[in-house]
Amino acid sequence: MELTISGLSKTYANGVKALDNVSLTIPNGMYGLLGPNGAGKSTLMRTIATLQEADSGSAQLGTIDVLKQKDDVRKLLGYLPQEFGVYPRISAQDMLEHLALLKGIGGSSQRKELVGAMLKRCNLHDVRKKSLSSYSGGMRQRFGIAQALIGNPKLLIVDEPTAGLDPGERNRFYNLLAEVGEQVIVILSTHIVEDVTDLCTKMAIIHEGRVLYEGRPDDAVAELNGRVWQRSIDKSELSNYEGRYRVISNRLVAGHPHLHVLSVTPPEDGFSPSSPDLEDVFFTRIRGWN
Amino acid sequence: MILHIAWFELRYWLRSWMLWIFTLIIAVLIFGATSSDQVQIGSSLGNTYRNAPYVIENYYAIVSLLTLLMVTAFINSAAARDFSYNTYQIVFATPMRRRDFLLGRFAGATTASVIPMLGISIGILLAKYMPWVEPDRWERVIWAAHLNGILVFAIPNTFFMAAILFTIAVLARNEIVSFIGALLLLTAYGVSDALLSDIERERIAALLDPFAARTFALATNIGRSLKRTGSARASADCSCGTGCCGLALASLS
Repeated sequence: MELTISGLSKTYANGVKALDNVSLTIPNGMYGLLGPNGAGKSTLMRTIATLQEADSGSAQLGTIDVLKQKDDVRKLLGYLPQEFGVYPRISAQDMLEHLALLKGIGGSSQRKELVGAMLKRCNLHDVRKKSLSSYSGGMRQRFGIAQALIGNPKLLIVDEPTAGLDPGERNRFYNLLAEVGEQVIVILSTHIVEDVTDLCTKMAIIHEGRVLYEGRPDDAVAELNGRVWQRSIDKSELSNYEGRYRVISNRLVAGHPHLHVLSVTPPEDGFSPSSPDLEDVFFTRIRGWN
Repeated sequence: MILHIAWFELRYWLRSWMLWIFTLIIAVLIFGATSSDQVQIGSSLGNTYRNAPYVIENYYAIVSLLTLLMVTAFINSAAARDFSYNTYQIVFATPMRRRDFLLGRFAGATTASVIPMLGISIGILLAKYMPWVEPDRWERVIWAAHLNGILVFAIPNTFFMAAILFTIAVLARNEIVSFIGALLLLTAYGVSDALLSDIERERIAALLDPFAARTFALATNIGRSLKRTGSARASADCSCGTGCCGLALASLS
């Protein structure tokens, strides 16, 4: 199955253009949607998840018209929203069984079995009777992926799933997503570059509602080969360098700014070649330098 | 599907302390009103048995006024929970049918809303056995009167209130609007109360009272109680009918 989005646009009542003629082709496997906060990723996710209308454009999932046949999409959909709450006084087990029912999984024994297996898979089995409102951020996020995975979705949308998770929880989450395998479409929306580097075989960079890059992360990185240079400088020199070079990023390393700059020819002495990574791609693309 | 959703909703409320606190408050109030002269709810008990069928059913009619705000809180929560707890994106991305979902929620929350009314029976049943009550003011327990109170007043009144309030909550998605709806119901009661003082308008007053308390008063004020009790039932049926209309409207929207 393949998800084809073409010419999708959305402008909010306050004039913010969240999506500007977005066209993407998303095959089975992990697809990274990378963009800074406010880029329009969540709007795109919600539109595909049938929770929001687009102004124009179309989206096709296999033979299903996503924008019109909402119920057909929902039967195939697993969705983990960027922010979600839980009912008070409800345990993970009860809530998952309830959601399994809403997803149309018939037979209460079948639901129980399915939910039990899912709780084990998401490492929540020991805390299944505890109230969801007492869960930590990581546990809650694992509950989020559990509810999204129930019913074997063919289209899995996860919106900013790792924001706020500690490295251990993030790894656990990665493993869960990776297990879903290459058999279904997984759209991972994130502003964290490592999420895409670690997981995705295809990606798009989206900024201010527009798609700036679509392709394989490796290809995007390869395009920058030989054009990224690095050096450490003194804090006082920072504005001077920013005036003279295309500074991709500056990060404090041991208290000193460590610059990555974009340049076709070698810059002045003191710079050494740097092997580009996806973060360099991300910043050069959203600044419109590439 | 509807039954499962209703059961989930009912269990949600059964775990809520609010439901049991309300039940306790009503039980204590009625316990006080029937076991002592210091507490009075509605008109005084006069010289009837303190647990006469009339007393029991009258309390079931009057307490609807007290439970109105509670029903509003329950129903509002049921209708708007996914927005107030930010679960709507998860719930509404499932292929469930909106009609089943709303009807299930409504049925569960309405059933839960009836439970605090049972505090009336609990209060009266307990009061009979208190050492300080005069035994000759208490007759044997007439279970049919309790059942009648529940069937004629508690369930139809709650259903009627809930249907109107649920419709408002689903359409308006705004807590303040829901409470204004509840106040309108109270106003309808006040209007019927005022109309009742005019003997020519007592029939319209009886029909207008959303809780059928005035209807019950009218039906039982002078003799002919058998016939008049029939009219109390008619009003309860009328409440049910209006409730159904409200619910139909809600499911259409």
